[in-house]
Amino acid sequence: MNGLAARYGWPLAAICLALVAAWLALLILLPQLMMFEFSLRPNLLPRQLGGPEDVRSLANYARLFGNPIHLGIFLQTIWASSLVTVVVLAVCYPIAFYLAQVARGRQAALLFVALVVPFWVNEILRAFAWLILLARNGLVNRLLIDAGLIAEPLPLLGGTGSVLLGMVYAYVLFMVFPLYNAIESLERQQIEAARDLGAPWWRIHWRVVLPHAKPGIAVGCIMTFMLAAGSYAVPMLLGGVRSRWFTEVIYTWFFEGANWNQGAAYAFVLLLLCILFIFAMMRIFRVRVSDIGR
Amino acid sequence: MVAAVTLDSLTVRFGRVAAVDDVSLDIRPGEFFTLLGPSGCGKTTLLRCLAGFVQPTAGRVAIGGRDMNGVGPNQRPTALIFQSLALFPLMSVADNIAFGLEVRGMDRATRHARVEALLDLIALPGMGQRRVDELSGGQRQRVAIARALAVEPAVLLLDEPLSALDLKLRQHMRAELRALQQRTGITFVYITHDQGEALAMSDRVGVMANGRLEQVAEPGDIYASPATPFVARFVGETNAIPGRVVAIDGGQAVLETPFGRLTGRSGADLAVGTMATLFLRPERLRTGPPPWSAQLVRGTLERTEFEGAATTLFASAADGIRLVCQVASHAAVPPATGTEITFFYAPSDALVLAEQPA
Repeated sequence: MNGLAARYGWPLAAICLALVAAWLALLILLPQLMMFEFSLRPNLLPRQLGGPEDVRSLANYARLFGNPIHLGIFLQTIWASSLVTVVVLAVCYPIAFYLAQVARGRQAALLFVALVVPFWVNEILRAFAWLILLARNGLVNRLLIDAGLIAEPLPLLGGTGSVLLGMVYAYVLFMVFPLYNAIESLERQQIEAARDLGAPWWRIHWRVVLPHAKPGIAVGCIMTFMLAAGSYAVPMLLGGVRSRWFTEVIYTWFFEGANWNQGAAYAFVLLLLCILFIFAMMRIFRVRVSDIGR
Repeated sequence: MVAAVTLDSLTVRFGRVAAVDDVSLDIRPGEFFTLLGPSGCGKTTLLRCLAGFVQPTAGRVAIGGRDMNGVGPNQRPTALIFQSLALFPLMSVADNIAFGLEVRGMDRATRHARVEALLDLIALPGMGQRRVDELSGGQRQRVAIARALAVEPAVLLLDEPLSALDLKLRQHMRAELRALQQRTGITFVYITHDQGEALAMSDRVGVMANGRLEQVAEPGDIYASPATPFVARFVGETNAIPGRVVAIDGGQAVLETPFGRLTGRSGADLAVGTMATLFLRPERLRTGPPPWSAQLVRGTLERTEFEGAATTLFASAADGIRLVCQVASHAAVPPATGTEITFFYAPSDALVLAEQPA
């Protein structure tokens, strides 16, 4: 803080800090606290407000754990988001490694553009694109039928598979860039040194590249998991009755059930899960917050 | 006896540029061989070709008589010490050294014993659990050497490993490397642009320029009898006096120069009437009353540098030629700058080399 003051002078430094503090307090902390307050109170009619029933309790939270369907969807969301994260990591690691250590000049630039361009399109539109591809008489089924591989169209949509596919596609970039940043900073000669000492390619990755990329992996996994767990558009469009996402349940409470208190409690459980996931990732990959910031 | 390394018309091209151009060479087992050349001369490419990171465009590399064509870096009996050392920063010193052994599937106990022995060899006993970034430059250097020696390579390749060290440490590591090489008996192929390093450590030196091997010889011969004008200029200080060959007789050549006719030993491929250069080491040029048979060159003394044991005189002469003369400091008090001074030399101390047509 003194450094800031020394550089810009006290008045400007004070303004900067005040703006940051205001942003944190008004736009993040205060709304969250209000939602938390909501989540503790029962859903009452206006005339009941302030009455004997209007007391704080954990009843809204308890309701999630007492409802097997909602709990099932919650657990399913955790499981599927983890799966998305793992698949995205598996898909992105080779791409990031290729970009960071193998590709040269134009090749790398072209690949970057090819990765980024699809993300100029809105997430909902991209989900719709998959809808068109995977629909009952969509492109994939048509091609398979024309090729004579299947007689009847496959039910590609509406299951967990299509949601996973849509999400992997939607969040690839959020994994590629942290990974790329981490791997790019690895001195190429270390890979050569490992090779020179006789290591086969998989051991080079296991012992040299992956340990170096750990902070990037942690950041990528955190981002992907949080985006996947909090995703709404993709599961809504590509999922069906059989694969409801927890965000859809929250949405339902807020806007169809008109029960903000219950919705807020569910939302907080999801937030708590994401925070736990962040800590777990930091533990697993033995990275600190300062490493992630790099 | 099978050569440790054989290069057979080795050529490496990057696009149109030949980084290594038709190099043939035999390196003897147990030899400390140095490739010396300015940066960009292709010596690093040649070394990487030996390690297997660069594929030859033409020609052949054999190590211990075995053709290395199509053999990857991880399959070759070589170990490379990188200029940056390329130690693994996330591993301890011991894990760094043991990496090659781990790769070979050696069990933990044997590995541990080998690492301890190597730590003793590099005089860092008990440092195995240190982190790499806790070590000093010289210690890291030694860890890199131990890591390479751990895999018991037939040939150790060293890519200017001392260039990052300060002068004192560099001189110390020179002696240490040489001693290590003699103790282990491993063939060393060392590359450097530092001629002092090359001359001090090597059994033989190969001088490279523009991808070609100019001369391969023992350090003393490289210095005393350079094969080409490039080698004469690149290795050590030298006086270069250009002229036209007027006579060649009995191993001696006479050159018409701005100083008049000068005589020196005749190099290869000299012909009467062609342009040539007379090369003369500074310590072979003398001052004082010349004997009657001596060759004379005159110049104006510009400055003197006292360097302890020796004093170097710098003089300018006819046609912009600069003369450098090194005399023992105790022998004479140098004359004042600006005075006309006469140097002399014995014809057997000078070498006349043909200038390649430019």
